Amino acid sequence: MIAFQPEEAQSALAESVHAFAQRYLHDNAREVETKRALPPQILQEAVSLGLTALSLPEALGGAGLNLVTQAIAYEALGWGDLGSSQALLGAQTGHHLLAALASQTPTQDRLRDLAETSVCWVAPVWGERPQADGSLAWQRNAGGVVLSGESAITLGAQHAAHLLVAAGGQEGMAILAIPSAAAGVHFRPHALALGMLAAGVGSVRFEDVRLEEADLLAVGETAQTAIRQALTTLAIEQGALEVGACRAATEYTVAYTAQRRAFQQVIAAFQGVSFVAADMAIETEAARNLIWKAAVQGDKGEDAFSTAAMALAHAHQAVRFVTSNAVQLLGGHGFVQDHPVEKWMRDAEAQVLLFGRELELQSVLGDALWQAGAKDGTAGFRLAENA
Amino acid sequence: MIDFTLTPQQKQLREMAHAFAQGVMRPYAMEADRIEDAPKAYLQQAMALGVGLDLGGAPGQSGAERADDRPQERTANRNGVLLAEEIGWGDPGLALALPGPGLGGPPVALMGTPAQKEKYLGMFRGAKEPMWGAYALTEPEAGSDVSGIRTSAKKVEGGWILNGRKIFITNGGRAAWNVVFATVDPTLGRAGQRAFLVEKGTPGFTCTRILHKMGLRASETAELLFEDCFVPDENLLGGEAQYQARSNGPAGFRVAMQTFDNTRPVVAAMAMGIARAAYEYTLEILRQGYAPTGHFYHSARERLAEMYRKIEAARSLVWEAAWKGDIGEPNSKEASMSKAYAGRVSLEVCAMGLELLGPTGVVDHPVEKLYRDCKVFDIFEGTNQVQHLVVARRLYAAHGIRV
Repeated sequence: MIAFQPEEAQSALAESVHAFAQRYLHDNAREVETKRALPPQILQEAVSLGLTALSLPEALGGAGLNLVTQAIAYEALGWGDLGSSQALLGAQTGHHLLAALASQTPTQDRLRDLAETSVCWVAPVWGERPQADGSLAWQRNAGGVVLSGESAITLGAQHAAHLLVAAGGQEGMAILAIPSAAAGVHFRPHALALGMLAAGVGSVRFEDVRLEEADLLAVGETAQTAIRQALTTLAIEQGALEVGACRAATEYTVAYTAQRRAFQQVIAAFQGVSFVAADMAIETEAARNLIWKAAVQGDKGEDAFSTAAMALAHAHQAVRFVTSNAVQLLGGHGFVQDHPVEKWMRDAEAQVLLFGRELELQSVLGDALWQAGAKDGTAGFRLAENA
Repeated sequence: MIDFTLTPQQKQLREMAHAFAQGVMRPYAMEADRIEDAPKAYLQQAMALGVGLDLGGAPGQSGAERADDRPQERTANRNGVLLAEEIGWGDPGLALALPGPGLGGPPVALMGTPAQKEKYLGMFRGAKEPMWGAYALTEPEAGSDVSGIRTSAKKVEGGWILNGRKIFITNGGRAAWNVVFATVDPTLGRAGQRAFLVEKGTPGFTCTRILHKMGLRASETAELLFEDCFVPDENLLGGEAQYQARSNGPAGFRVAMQTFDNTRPVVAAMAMGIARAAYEYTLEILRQGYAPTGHFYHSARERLAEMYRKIEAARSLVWEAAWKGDIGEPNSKEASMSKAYAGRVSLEVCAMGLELLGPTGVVDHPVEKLYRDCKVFDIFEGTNQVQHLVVARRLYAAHGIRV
């Protein structure tokens, strides 16, 4: 039955996450960005509340939340501050791969061990088919495995205890787990001034890193399937965070324009202002609905890969539109750092660069659509009579 | 619960509507556009199948599930938008031409006296010939601003005298009855408004013109004139007592607005159905002409994905508004959101389809017709700007600001 009503437990979770996000992410966002790091006590608080393990299944020590519930919780975090959320969650993107692998393999001891540490998925790539990071290669060597190459730019890696990568090799694509402290692992922080300053944006160079057979978590078909599933759930997480950012920016803008006066009236009275605010609200609503749609599909056990890619593409578009207009409607005040909106806009722009560009996401969807076709697309019309 | 699956009944409903759209509407679509009317054969076929345009007005017909006599959750709005998407996909002009109470249904169902409901909605039960109801609100000088209507209603012995002009009235000329909005005193604004059921053939009531349009040509759009038109007391919609109750704002206006809250998602759903038709048609034609390789394919798939994504986003807003209406919560914000978004992006989708098809799309394919048909969905039932106004008012109401 078509319905848009979160259950009581979901609303309660959203409320408690919201309270955390307000106190630790929203109110500290400037400080976190200036120090380029999340204070340890915020991380501890988040860990104790289970907020860094929202995407982990019960089998791996997580809460085992379904995707809709995850989306609701992530939206509440994203509302606090997108950049700070990534500083908190960026080192845990590997949970999506672990969860996907856990759903396929019966032996989960290794996955459970990894899940107990912070585990970052280095450079997820959306493409025509689930891909390895093209510049990473693995091969077998003397009873073990060797990984080499430099990853694409990603976030969270330098804050994680373990890194997960998808690399190409002669036997096919593989998912590998690498201890951050392993010899030959070099972090290359990138001076990204745009946004996500506290999220540890950079690439990782793997200089003939020697790994054990056990670090090879999946190869070939199994790896492909896991990556596809992990990209699906990662897209829902990222999209939901973006929806939260959209909601925060819309609320802030409405509140500001409702009290800011110009030409003897509040500027909300000008339709050039209020109509843009309406569009911000509409885009936010649609983005949330599409994320929920992908989540529902995934929770039903259906393949939600292209729906999730579509939803993330939509969220990308929405978060750029909404945060950019938030700055616009605050005018000069939006451009300076007295208000949070300029940071939200920068973070949003960095976010969409790092998690699947719109073109890539739309290619994923476009391929699926082309393949599926439209059964009755041209059916029924009588064209000849008209010619 | 958050869910997007249809019940078995809704799936069945949608399949039936789809079959009708494909098998009955589409074969007449191009001809209807050319002759600027709904072909008689089409209307007869629709009648024979018992298909009518009913937006929740007439008891016992499709889409008119009543909340009051059924214990289970009301689904009429959700069913309505599912149907509307399919018939919009079939042909929007022929959809509006479907016999039935149409837009006139909801105000009668919401506000009519038992006798009025029985007479004016009951007449559609078992009708042998095509029959229509209509909703006459818009005037040449008052479209979006409903409070600005000037058609006058003057109380006289045993009834009312109407004078004024109505324009852009769907099926207004051929309708068996129009719900006509008039004012007893323009200075009272909305409080002065009354709605009347005016039957076809009432002395003083004439259809002066059928308008020629950019699209939606299969649908009749009429201009109506009321010259000292006498309407008996029993045809004042809901009876005078309803208009005296001020607890919830002016009743006449409230009726007009309640109608919109119910029908805006339906109109948005039809627009989205048109967009889906354009998307699907474009996709199939391109698949017949191109292999999935090369530059054109790579550009086209992005466009197709964007078209599809926007349709999905529009559908999600439509369903949300319909759901909220079904559970009895105020949904005017969501209704306007769905209409504002679907109206805009549906036209964008049609335009992208035209562009992808190139000149061929204009000459040999219905996509150019869909494009022409689609435009008005961003205008009628409240223009895009009016929808934005409604959404903005709800946003700023929380801050005590009226925008």
